[in-house]
Parts: sequence; C-alpha cells; structure tokens
Amino acid sequence: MKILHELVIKDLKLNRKRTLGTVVAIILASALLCGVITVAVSARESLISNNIQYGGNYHLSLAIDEGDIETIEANRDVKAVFYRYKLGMAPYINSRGEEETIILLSYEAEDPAVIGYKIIDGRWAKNDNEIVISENLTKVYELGQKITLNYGDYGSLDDANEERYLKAETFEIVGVMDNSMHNIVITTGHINDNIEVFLRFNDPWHYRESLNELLGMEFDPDNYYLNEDEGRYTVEMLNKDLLRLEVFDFSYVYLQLIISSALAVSAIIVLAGVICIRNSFMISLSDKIKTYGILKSVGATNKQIGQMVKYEGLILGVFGIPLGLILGNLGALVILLITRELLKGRFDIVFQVSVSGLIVAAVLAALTIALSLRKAAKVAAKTSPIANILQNGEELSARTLKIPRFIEPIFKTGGVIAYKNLKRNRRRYRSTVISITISVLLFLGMSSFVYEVTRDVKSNMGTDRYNVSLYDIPDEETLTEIKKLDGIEEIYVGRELSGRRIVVEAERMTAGYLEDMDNYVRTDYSIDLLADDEYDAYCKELNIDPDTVKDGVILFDKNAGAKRNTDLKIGDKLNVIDGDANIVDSYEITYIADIGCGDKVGLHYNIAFYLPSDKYNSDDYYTSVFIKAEDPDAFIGEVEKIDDMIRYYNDAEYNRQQMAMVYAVDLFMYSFLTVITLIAVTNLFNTITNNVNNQQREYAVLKSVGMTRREFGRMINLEVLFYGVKSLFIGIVLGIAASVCFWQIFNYSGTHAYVLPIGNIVLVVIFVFLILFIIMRYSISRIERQNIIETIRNDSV
Amino acid sequence: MNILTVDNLSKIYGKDDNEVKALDHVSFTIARGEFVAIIGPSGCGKSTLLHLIGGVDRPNGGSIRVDGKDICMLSDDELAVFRRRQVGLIYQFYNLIPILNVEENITLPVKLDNRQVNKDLLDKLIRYLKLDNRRHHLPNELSGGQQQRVSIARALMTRPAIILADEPTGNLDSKASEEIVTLLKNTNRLLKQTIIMVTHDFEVAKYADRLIKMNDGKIFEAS
Repeated sequence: MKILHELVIKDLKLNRKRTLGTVVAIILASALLCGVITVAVSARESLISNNIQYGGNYHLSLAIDEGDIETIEANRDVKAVFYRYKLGMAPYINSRGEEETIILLSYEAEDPAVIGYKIIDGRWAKNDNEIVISENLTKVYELGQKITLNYGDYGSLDDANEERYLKAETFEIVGVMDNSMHNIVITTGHINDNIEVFLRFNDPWHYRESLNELLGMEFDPDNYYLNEDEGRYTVEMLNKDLLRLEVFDFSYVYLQLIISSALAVSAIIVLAGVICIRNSFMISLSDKIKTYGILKSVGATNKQIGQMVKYEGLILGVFGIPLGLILGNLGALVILLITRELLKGRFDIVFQVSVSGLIVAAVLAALTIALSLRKAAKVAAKTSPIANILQNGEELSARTLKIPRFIEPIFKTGGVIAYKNLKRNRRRYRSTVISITISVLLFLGMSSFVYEVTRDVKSNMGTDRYNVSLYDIPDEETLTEIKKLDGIEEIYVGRELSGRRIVVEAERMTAGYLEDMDNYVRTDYSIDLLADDEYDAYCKELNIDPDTVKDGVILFDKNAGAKRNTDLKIGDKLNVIDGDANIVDSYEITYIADIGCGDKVGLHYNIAFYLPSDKYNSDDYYTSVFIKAEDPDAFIGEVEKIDDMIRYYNDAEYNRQQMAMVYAVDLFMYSFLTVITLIAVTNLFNTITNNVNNQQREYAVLKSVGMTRREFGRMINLEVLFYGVKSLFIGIVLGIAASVCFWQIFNYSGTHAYVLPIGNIVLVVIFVFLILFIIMRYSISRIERQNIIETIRNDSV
Repeated sequence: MNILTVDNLSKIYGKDDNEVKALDHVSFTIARGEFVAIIGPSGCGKSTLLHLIGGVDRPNGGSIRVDGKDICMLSDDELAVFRRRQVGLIYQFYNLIPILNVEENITLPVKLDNRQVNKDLLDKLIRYLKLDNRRHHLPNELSGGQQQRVSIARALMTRPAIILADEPTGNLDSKASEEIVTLLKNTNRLLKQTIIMVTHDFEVAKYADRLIKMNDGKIFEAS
C-alpha cells in the first residue's frame, strides 16, 4: 500500500494546477463553514455580552431577609454575585418644580456592574457618605454636589398623614449611572433587612431543578408573576433571556434565528462544496483512469484503488481544512469588526472562536470531502482494467450526443462541436450548470431579500415621515414655545382625549377591513382634539367650513389601499365610553375626510376621529407632538432647553440604527454570496481548464483539417454561450421565484408593488458570461499557439 | 505537370546543443496523379517532410509549392484554408473527432469551408469505403480499420490536390493494412488522386509508383 500512497503524492505534485484547484475548493468550503459557525458563535456571545451589559450577569434575584443569607450561601446550586439593600424612598423636586420620588439603594463591596448598572461619569461609591445618581437626576443635581436626602419607607404620596421620613443623610455625588435606572441613587455600606440577592446558577443547564430546590416548590419560569409569595423566597426577577442564551434554549427567538440561519447556510455550503469538490475529484479521476487500469492489470485490487482515491482526499483535506479554518476565522473577524463599527454604540459585537465550533466546521468539511469522493472512489474501483486503459472516463454514444436540430443551421459546425462538447460528460456538465445556477439563484434571491428588507425599513422611516416625537408636554404654553422653534418642516400635535373612546360597531366594518385585519375587529378608537388654528387649517385642507362641522366628529376612514374601512355615513351617531365601558357621551359624524390630519408627518391611522379642543381642558388630554425636523438632533437640543423633562424620541437616530442593522445584514449576505460564488468559479475553472486540456488533440485535429483561429475562437465562444444560457435560464427563473417569495413575505401591508430585479438580472448575466469567457480564454490561451503536429503526436503516445 | 515542388527545404528542432536537423536542404518534385511512398528509418525526417507539405508545420528554410502556390508564404488562416481545400491528411492514429459520427467526421472539412455537402460524393465514398452500416456510429464504436477508412474518406471528401498519409497502416493488423493500402492504390488509380505516403514498411511502400528514400534528413535515393 505504501507504493500506492507514494503514487498518489507524486501525482498530486506533478499536476500542480489540478491539485491547486481541488485544494482551493476545499479551503473555500472549509473557510465558509468555519466562518458561518464562528459568526453564529460570536452572535450568541454578542447577545450574551449585551444582555449582561444592560441586564446584568445574574440569573435570578430574590427578596430575602438577613437570616436567609447563610442558607443561600450554603446552597451548592447557586452562587450569590450581588446583594442589594433597599434603603427606602426620598422625595425630590424635579426641574419642573414637581415632587417626585428617588429610590435609595445600597450594596456592599461588589461591583454594581454585575447587575447591569453602568457608570457613565465619575466612579462608584466607596463609603457610606457617597452616592451615585441616575442620569436623569443630573437635571437637578451635579457631580461633586453634596445633597441631603430624607428617606424612609412610605406609602402613597397623597397620604399626608403617613409618617414619611425615618432618616436624613447627606451624601456626596461621586458618580452618574446610565439612565436605564430612572430616579435611582445608590450608595454603599448601608445594610438593612430589605435585601435583594442576585444569583447565578452553578449549572444553568439544570436551572429549573435548581430553582425548584431553592424555592421549595414547582416553579413555572414561563408563567410567573414577580413577587409571587408561594415559595420559600419571593422571586423578584428571573433573567430568562440570559439563561436561554446560555443553555441554548431553542424556544428563544434570537437563538432560533441564529441557529436556523447557520444551519440553512451550512446546508447550502455543504451542497455547493460537495458539487465543486466532487467535480474536482472526478476530473482527477478521469485523468488517472488509465493509471488505475494499468495498476489493476498488474494486480491492484478494487479496494486498493478505492483506497488511493480516499488517500488523495485525506491528503488534500489535511492540507486544505486547517488553512480553511484559519481563513474562515480571519474572514469572520473582518466581517465582525466591520459590523462592530456599523453598530457602534448600539450593539456590542464580540468575536468568539469556539473549539467545539472549529471541530464542527472541520467535521463538516471532512464530511463534504468524504461525500465528494465517494462517487469517484466507487467509479475508480469498479471499472474494468481494460476499460480504464482505453477510456478517459467519458461514455460517448449517439444518444448522449444528440443535439437539437436548430443548432447546426444557426451555429454551423463550430456550434455542433461546442454543443456536443458539453454533452460528452454529462456529470461534469451537470455539476457545472448546477454550480452556476446556485450562484445565480443565491445572488438574485439574496439581493431581493436585501432590497425588500431595506424597502420595508425605509418605508417605516419614510422621507415623508416625522423624525422626532415628543411626549409629556406639560401644557399648551410649552407647546406654543415648541411650535415657534426653527427647523420645523411639518408638525402634528396629537391630543388624545384621556379616558374616552368612541365606539364603532363591528357590523359597520367592511369586508376589506376584515380581510386586511385577518378578521380581528377593533371597536373603540381614540378621539383626537385639535386646537382652533389646527382645526381651521384642517378644515381648509378639506375644503369645508369649520362652523358646519365643529359640533360633531370628523371621521377619517381610509386604508393603505385608499378603501373605506367602515360603512359609516354622515349623520351617524356614535357612542363614547369611559374606562369602564360606560356610555358617557355621543357624537354625530359631521364629515368623512379622505385626508388624515397626521398624514403630513406620515402618521397614518386607518380610522381617526377629530374634534375641536375648545370643549376640553389640557388636563383632559394627553399630548404628543410629531415633527418633521430639518435637523432632528439640533431640534431636540432646543426642546431640552425649553423643558428638559419632556420625553423625546429621536426617530432619526432610530432610523440610523435600523439602517446600520440593514447594512450589517447586507454585509453578511454579500460576504457569504462572494465566497459561494468563488466556490462556483473554482468549480468552473477546474472543469473548463480540464475539458480544454483533455481536448487538446481534438483541437489540433480540427486545426489540421482546416479550422481557422477565428472559427476556433467562435467555437469556444459558443461553448461559453451554451453553458451560460442554460444555467442562467434556470437560475434566473428560480431567482425570480425567490424574489417573489421575499416580496410576499415583506409586503404584509400590501403597499409595495412587486419590482422585477431587472438590474440584478442584467448584472448576473454579464457576470456569468464574463467569468465563463475569461476562464475559457485563459484555458485556450495555452494551447492556442501550440504546434499542431506536436500536440497530435504527444497525445497519441 | 508537377503538383508539388519542394525546394531546398530545411527544418530544425531545438536550439544550440539540442539542435536537431530534421530536414537538411531537401528538394524534389511530384507530378499530378503520382502515388509516392517516402521510406526511411525511424527519425529520418519523413514524417516531418509530410507535415511541412501538409501545412501543419512551418519550415526554417526553403519553399514548398503546391499546385503552383508557395504555401510557406501563407498566413496561419490561409494555411488553414489551404489544409481544408487542397490537402487531405491521414494519420497513423486516425485522429477522428470522438464526438462526431462517421458522416460528420467525413464532411467536417467541407462544413468548415461553409460549403454544401455533395451528398452523391458522400454516398459514393461511404459505399466505396464499406462504411454503409456505420454511418451514424461514433469512432469509439468502430474498429481500427474502420476508423482509418473514415479518415481516408475525410481526406477524399474535398477532392484535394494531394493526399498525405503518415504511416496509415502503423496501427493496424496485416489484413487491415493490406485493405487500407489497396484502397489508397485504387483511389490513386481510379480518381487519379496524388498520394504521398510515409512508411517505414517496405512491403507497404511497394504499392507506390515511386519511392523516395530518406536518411538523416536527406533524400539519398528517389526511384
């Protein structure tokens, strides 16, 4: 057997180009598998890291007494990572002059970051005279300031008789926490009996058993209420997301997404890899089939021949797989670094290489090679010695070489030979066509996916949509000030009447509405109040006299397809209910509008009711403002100067985050596509160069019977054309089908028309023909200038 | 009238220390309708001479006139056209196109010339060469003798000025060899086809009208 192994190695060394072709395919397939696994592992680690960063590195928090500490510490299933003491509540006056409460907490020596607290300025408290405040409190206090807090347990703020304060203490503010904890101050060194312990399960995989043991009851983690009192301790918080991530709980949607994506992608890689690598081995086989025949004729058994093929696979795998793993990890690192930049400040990306992931990638790559050479080993082993010596692996017959009748009249002799060249080795032809088809399908499918995702995300942003929204506007005076600010392109003030809903009977809904809503019927709607000037402006837009309609409600009733949602008419009377569903009022519909008041800021409700606000006080309604600002960041800065207690939502920032996520998805998609395409191109290169090499003598014979160089070039071009047309036809049809599927998935609202990806189709056609042409030309260039007779002679020997 | 005039022809392979003079100032003529055998030991340059006449290789010196035209002055494409119209090449190893059937292989030079196939001529050749029931077979479905007959038919299809046969019986058994040489002889006799045949086998060479003996790249006897 040693001699046969030496033969294998010698052959690999002598045929460097062919060996390289196979090794490149193995490296690419391994790299891609490894890259996908590394990205998936990193994605999980990133989710865990972000979860810990924002939620804390603990699994469970319990409310306990001092006497429970020893028992908790002795429990082998859990480890206490943090003790938090609730010292009480203290009143403070906010920047509006209103009284609010601060919660005062304390800890011992641990780092509060372990429970998700993040210091953004200064430092954590080191002694019991120091505190760290939450960011929102910096509107009233500042770093370095000494404040006195009167704190203690107390009940409702309204209860004036309640004994409020137990203790007054002065603290120095030494740090500021991020605003995820609102109205919180935290100090150290204060201990009481109001303890919350934060725990990690020593064996998260068996956390349910540990939890039941700890609580002394059957605790349902999926169906519990905080502070449930049935167990030994009160559960304050179960960090289910972190647990699910750590134990690979596939019911967790993000894990499902990661794992299913990784599996789907890996399946595609294995398929593409098997096709490409199998093709390489079959090419290698066809070159060596004579050698195998000679070996058999001198006594090598079928098994030994089969072992030679497998040994070749082993050598190439041992060389190619580690290189592929390194390349895959490098590739994953580059992609993750770019993604980290894209998502900077919004989501932290962790690069993680897992040993088990590497093993899985190596095993999958080895499996890909094993599947690929299975056929080659079988064919090599089973063919008879003399057939091996005489043949080159092709099985030619009139049936297999049958061509359509239109080929010769249109493409002449060159076309006939070109077409038959494709058919002479059906297996290789099929694998080449499948390679190209998969790449075309993936390109069109993925680019359609990216297009639909981007369109969907952008339509939610919309250039005609508001980019700033404001809440907790205290009064109309503040609103008037805001309205006067520069940089407002459009503004809509939503004053939702509190505690009142207008009722529309289910029977008044149209069939179209029911179909859009999947038969879900909503029967009560908010009432929007418009100030005088706003009401007049709206009526002007509708071309109606406000005086004729102001005694009732204006109904806006139009869905995305400009159809009615109800069959309500002018004159219909609708009931108004309170929070207890009691009828408290009624309004007549005085007008049915086809323009919504919020349309100008892209705030579209299918059904809306408008009333003039002069009937109501500002306490009766809740105000939100939606603005299309020229510069959203600057505008928010100006609003904060007016009242820093106003809550705002910077949609522009949200849009940037969304687009960053879209770009990150694009990056992954196109990186994957690039490598899959490289595998296909490698396959094409191997197949075509090998075909050309094998047909050198035939090309020389054609020249010897009078084929000119131009005619020869035309014949080669026709071979490119025939390869390309079939692959593209199938790939484009499947790609269009995929794009239709993605359009349907993302077009749930029915607002987007299907757009045929003509640009991408043209691009893929050009790319495929270009690649085929380049590969052909490269393959032919070597033999084009060869001496005719030397080529004929060399091949005959 | 001379259909072929070779004047002072030379061909050198390799360079410097590896230089080999395959042909050394060879000159001779062949009249139209002659059947000439070029004979000599292996490596004497006979096949090289044949290939130069056939336009599949280029000399280093001298000239070759076929039907009055100096083919050494032709460009590559002109040579290709020359080969398809003026010359019929028959090789030792047949050199058929494996994916074309018998009929397609025979008509290949005509179709490359974008001319209509003379169906009568085709049928005659197929009958003459006893390939009637092999018309649509591929080369891998034919015996060696049958393949060589296809090769002869391909060479005759364009009614070339000269047929050049390079060891046409080299890969055949004695019976098939006799068949092929007899065919060539009859073709020469019946169609007045000029044939130049290269062989190392004197028994085969005897069928020719004239012998040209070569050695070490030179003609040393022509009879």
